[in-house]
Amino acid sequence: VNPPLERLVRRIAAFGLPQRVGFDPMPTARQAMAPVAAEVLDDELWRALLGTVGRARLVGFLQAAIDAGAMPVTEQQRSEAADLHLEWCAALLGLERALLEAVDGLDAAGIDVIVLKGSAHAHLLYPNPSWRMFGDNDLLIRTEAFDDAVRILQAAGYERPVPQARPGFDARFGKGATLRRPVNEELDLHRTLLFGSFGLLIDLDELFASSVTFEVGGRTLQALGPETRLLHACYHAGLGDPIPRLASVRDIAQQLANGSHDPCRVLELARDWQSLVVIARGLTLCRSQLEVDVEGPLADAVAGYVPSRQEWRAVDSYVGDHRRFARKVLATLPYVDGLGAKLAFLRAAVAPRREFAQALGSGGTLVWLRRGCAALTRTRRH
Amino acid sequence: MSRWGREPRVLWRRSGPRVVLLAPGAADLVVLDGVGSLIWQLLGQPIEYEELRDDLASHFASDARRLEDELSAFLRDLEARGALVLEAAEGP
Repeated sequence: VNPPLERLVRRIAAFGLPQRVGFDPMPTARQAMAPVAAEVLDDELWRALLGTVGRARLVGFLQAAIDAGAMPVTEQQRSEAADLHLEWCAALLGLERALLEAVDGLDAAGIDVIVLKGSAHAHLLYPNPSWRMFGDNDLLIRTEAFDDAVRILQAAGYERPVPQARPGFDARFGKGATLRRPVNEELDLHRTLLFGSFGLLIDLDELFASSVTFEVGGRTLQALGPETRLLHACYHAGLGDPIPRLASVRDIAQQLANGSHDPCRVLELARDWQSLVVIARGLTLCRSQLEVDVEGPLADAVAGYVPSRQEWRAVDSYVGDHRRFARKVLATLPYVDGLGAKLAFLRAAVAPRREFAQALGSGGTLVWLRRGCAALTRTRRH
Repeated sequence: MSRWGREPRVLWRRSGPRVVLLAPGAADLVVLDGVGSLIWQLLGQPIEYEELRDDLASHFASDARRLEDELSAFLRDLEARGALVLEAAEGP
């Protein structure tokens, strides 16, 4: 832990945001230029900073701060930051080319595609797409097209390292599949926004019905609409990891600062999808991680929100101290409709195909089962 | 008259003073420094050669004729790399 470094990284992650988000319209130029550092950093701190912003995918914000004169640097530091940013930008262009190829292939088969996060956030949320770095592509497709989409992408050279747990699991309960091509090219194919309880509550038709468009390389692509995009940003930052990437929290704050969403519609969807608790967590993260004030109708609506025991258990299964797949399965069970579906879900989770367990490093179904039981036992002790 | 413009399918990002491009079908990236990235910016909308040359000359307070050779070579090079197109302007 290095407090000066941590403070600097947070300021870089918040660069260009107004002090208050969720209430004001777009930030004024003066607010956006709030300084990140008062003076040039010494070599040791600079090296640590450069390494950290690279790992945290904050290179675009650092470059923007330097360009704006909000981060004093030596000529050597300027050059190092510029080289790192250029390297990232080159990688992003390769990913965007892969994105267009994938979308074209799916489109040719008549499959609707929505681009999630990455390129969509870069082009729709930020003043300049070179602010937002990303490391893979994420596509959302309709459940009924999922198997066809996997086949089409496999024909285009992608491999699926982890097969589905059991036949039919993906389409009924799964989030999607991670596909890979050589040279670290990763594509996450989603049928919903996240695995588990909250993923099952999402109205998937709404994601397509409210989609918007953006352009990459002269091609028009679909992205989530502002309201569902904000909810997705909250799910991703709030339930993805116990300590989320600052870049993911920034996506929430950026969307709040842009103000392109209708707060009433966001709340309506959040109530329907039982995710007010996730919005509350997302806004809390903006305050604590980026040190911005979050105000306005969304903040008012979730202020003092007290989650039910079931909601608390669901959130805890994603980001609690003892989160495990087994625990997430148990927390998800109440959200699976019907006894038959609950049994099918449990069966796939408890006794998946050998290939699935092996791909996740469990050796086989028995080892998988033993590990699951051990995880639950540890959970109960706590 | 014809106008120079960016090939719409080019993927690109601004990176500090530079611009990095990936033209459709190209194996290699193109990195434009200082003047090159300024020209890329001026090509945001299709523009006639003479207008581009004069804009550039006024930016550098230079004689437009002195820029001709280098500017022409630059545009032709990016065209060959698939990053620019020379399109015929619509008639009156």
